[in-house]
Amino acid sequence: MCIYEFIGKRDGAVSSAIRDSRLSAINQMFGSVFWQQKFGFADARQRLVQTETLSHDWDTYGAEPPNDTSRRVAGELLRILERESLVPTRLTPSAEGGIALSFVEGSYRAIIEIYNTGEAAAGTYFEREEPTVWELEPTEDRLLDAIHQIRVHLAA
Amino acid sequence: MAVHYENAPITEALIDIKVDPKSTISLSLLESIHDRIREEYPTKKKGIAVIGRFSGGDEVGASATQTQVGFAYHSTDTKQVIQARRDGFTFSRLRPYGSWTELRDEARRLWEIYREELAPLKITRVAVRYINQIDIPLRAIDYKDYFRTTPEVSPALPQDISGFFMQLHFPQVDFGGLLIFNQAAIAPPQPEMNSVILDIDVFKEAPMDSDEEIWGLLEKLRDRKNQFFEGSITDRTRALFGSRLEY
Repeated sequence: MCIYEFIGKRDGAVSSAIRDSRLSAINQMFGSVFWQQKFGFADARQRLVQTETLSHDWDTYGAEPPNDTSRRVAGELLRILERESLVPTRLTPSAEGGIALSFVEGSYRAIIEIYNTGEAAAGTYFEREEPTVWELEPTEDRLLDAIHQIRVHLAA
Repeated sequence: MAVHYENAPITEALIDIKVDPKSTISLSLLESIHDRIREEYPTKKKGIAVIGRFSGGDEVGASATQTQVGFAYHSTDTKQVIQARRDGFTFSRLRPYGSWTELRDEARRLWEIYREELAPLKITRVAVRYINQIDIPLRAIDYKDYFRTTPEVSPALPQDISGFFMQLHFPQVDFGGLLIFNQAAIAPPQPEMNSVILDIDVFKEAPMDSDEEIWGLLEKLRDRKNQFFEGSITDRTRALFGSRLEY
């Protein structure tokens, strides 16, 4: 759901009133944890769709763009994350070819990367300590395990 | 009269209190609240507000900036959240919902901590808000079979709609408040389902001096919320919630 929208181009008075009511609606919704999470997932899904516009060498270092396989798995991961109420901080294309979902709470960070092959890996990081990285099957059970580990890490 | 459902569709219930703050309130003072509740609410996150700027004409586009206005403190099980801001306090209980008594009593306990730490000048707004996610296990539905308030599409137009968002404002004349009713179709948790949000936010904006006035008003707001919820759904929807107890 997206309630940002175009406002009339020339009628300043009408635009101002509509803008104020829209801002009021947005802020009223942001008072709720539920809607904050929904907006977070809507933003992530929008970014996922936007990866369709990328092409080879999108990062100027020869990276392949995310393909339909990684987008499909990333979409499934977002569905599970939404059910578990864990909003990713950011969704970006990965320089390894695929999609990366990152989670940040202060110095505690985590990432799940979905590769164009459909394989996945996860990692947790804290400051300069050695990161913990593991491969995972992109199945619902393994993704849930990773989400649980990440949630525990972020809450440390 | 209140109603308890075995499988209540409540996804978030919250109590919100807005205040006139003292001018000296800083974000660091808001952190002192965390010192008193850290054991039960160990996780601290930034609380943000959206300030939107919309544009049209030659400079087409839309953007929004965010600014930190406080902190959000999450319980160990992440099901309870306190949003502490300079201008107020929100206590949320996420699914699974317990009871009104549990929500109210914990909100009151936390409010007293907020009030002791920040000493607001006065209370300006009190709200009760319940957000319900109603998951209907069918791929195609007629919204009118499940909801008594729905968008009305002209018979001259196609009746198939793939989504909607509606916000209605109902003045509450008897106590000088307002009820904001948000209803929206959202992505369901599973395919072959439909999900609708009923978001009922009822509040009063007026100076209030005493805590007794707040907590007495909250009971009235809760009753009004219940009235609007029950008046917005059909018996077919109630059947989704399991057994029903009136008390």
